[in-house]
Amino acid sequence: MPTDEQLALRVQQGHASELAELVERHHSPLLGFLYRMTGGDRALAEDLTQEAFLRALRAIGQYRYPRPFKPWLYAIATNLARDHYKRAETRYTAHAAALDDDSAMDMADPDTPLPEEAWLAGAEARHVAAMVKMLPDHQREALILRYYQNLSLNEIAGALDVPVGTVKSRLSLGLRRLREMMELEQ
Amino acid sequence: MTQSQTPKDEELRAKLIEDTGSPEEAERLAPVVRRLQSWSAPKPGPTATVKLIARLEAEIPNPQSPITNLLSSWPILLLRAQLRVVRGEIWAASALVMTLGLLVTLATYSAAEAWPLVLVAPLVAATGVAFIYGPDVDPALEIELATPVPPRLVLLARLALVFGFNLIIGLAASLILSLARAEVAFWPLVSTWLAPLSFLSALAFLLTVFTVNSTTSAMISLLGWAFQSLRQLGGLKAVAWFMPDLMAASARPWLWALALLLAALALWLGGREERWLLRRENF
Repeated sequence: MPTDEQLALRVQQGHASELAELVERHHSPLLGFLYRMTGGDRALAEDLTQEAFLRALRAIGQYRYPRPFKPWLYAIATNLARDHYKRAETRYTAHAAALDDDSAMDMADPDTPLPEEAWLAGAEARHVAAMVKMLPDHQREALILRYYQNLSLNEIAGALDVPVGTVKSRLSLGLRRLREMMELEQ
Repeated sequence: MTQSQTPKDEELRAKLIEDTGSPEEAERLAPVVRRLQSWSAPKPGPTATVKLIARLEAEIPNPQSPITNLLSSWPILLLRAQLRVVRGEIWAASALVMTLGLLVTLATYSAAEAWPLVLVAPLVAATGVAFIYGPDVDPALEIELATPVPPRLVLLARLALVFGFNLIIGLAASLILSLARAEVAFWPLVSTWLAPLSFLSALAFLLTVFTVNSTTSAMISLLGWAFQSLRQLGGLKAVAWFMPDLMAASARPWLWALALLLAALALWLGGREERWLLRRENF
């Protein structure tokens, strides 16, 4: 099976089939990443995901093989999310309300049979989402990449363009802050 | 792993220890990460990926010519990437010393004596190869370790570049010498230095990977080859007692076999993760 990097190289050369394979591999994880980065706004996450792929494709000429593709793609997505936060008009819109009832249902396991369980799962997810959203941006980015996207420390360092030591420190601080929030909640 | 711990718990614990550097802290933070998992993300709908691909296909770059494709194929790109990493002084120093060796050989040519070019070629290559691995060569080690290209392949690409360059300048110098002196045949001349060059380069490669010190490796190779040169030039009779004649035609099969073995051993050692981590500590 070709690696992401080999596929990206082929896309650089204008091969459409490899583009499809690359998108199939990363569409769902990237949507998940941006969904969490936007605090649980599915519609916004879908828009940003499409925009991230478009930007990646337009910048594919700048991709340098054999640099890892995944951090390169996530760097684009992270910058896109950051740009989004910076725009004043989006900061105070309805997106800030984060999870609506529909998206809470999205978060629940599709196999969940009981509405009450689904509601409870949605409530817990809302709590967690709210807490993650309260973290400083740089801690939230590192935390989402590590514990939701399962990127390695080196990959996160590449995506965020910081040393591995900084990634570790952001993760530790972020997790400690979350723990404090969870303790206060109890 | 305790009985109550699932492999997933153990995996999470290992991850947290890597992140925090403390098993106690990992224990404290594990429930936080477990709770994070309750916030799941939606998956794209069944047609969403297909629509996205169709949208992106309109933006795909135009296909390139076969030559451009070849130039941007991954082995060539890997070599090009490593070309930027290998220290620039290696190329200039190798070319300069080889040119000097050629000029001295032409100026002092004698069919009966060992030719400086033959003695210089292996030394130049070995010194260059000694500097393809080490803290100075990899300032961006963290990014390199994150690449999917195995460290062995990276090392092999560097070896191919430096060895290939020295091979080309050695062949060019031999061609010039054979054209300048009608009595010198090209291929017999090349075969005189090629096997020692390969052996000494492989030895320098192994030493540099083993000691993680390019200067030490270059010095050891230089010293060993100085003894061999003394033997060839007949300057020190005692050297012949412990130093075999590496220029002899009978030594060539052994030198080739040893060169392959040493290079394979160096690649094996160089690709081991802990050696890269050891090097990181030297930064």
